[in-house]
Amino acid sequence: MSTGSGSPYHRAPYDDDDGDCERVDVELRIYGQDLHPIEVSALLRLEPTSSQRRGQVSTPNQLGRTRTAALGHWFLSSEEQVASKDLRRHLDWLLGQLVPRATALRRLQATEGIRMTVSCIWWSARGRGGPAIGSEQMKALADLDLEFGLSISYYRDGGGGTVRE
Amino acid sequence: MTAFDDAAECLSASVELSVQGASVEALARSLGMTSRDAPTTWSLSSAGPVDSRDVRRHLQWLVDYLVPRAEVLRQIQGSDGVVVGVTCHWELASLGGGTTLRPGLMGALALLGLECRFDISFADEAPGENALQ
Repeated sequence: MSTGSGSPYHRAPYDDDDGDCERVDVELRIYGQDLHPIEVSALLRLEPTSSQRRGQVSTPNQLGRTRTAALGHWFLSSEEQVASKDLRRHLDWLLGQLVPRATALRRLQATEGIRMTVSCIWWSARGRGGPAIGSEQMKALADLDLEFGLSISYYRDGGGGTVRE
Repeated sequence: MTAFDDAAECLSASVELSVQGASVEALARSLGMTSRDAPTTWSLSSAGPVDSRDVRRHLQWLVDYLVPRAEVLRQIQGSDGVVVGVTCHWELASLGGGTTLRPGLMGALALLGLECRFDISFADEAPGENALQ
């Protein structure tokens, strides 16, 4: 087990190699009927991990089917940015992106039709254990007026499937 | 908050405040905690007072219980060598489940200086082993 230190957001030691965790991803999700990803990126001065406009047609899947987006979205994910199985490390990274942009986030939150949440998916490796969230992280999320959605998934065959919405 | 007291995906939920430390017996008792491993581990559980499968009900109960007693909690947290934590025990019925914590609840927990750890188990699997050690 490796533990980390130096984060402003934790007290208990981090476990970056948590054997109970298969994968973890923390994501800021912004939705809106009239959301324009380019405008969100410009306001936040940040590029999303994925984005789409309402009405945008997806690339064909393996069956050749496409999907037309009912909502626009702008997502920022930690999974490719943070090599750790400790949720708190991922939250630290995301909060490190968001806290300096609090004013811009509030402007977005005040925009009619825009919804925003922080969503975490924690894939269990062994059907036990679980993530932790620190008090300073909860304070930061509360100060940003962001709700925190936690989803737990467990694939008994050990495969971390994709359950993204 | 929209609560899901009978959430089908969850078999049981409870929240436990744990305190480890030999020097805080009197404070822990005054907080209404009971000894789990006398005299060094103290526990306060929502399992009795709250009948819900929504973990947020349990966390809110803990917040409501602790806020009027925050000074005692702060004294415990400030004692040398003492470890304080909240464990959310969550038994899930199938391959997954979830919850959404609202900013108000997280802010209240943060004001109390509490970290939350989820201890998840699944039906037909070994019990969770993630409680505060």
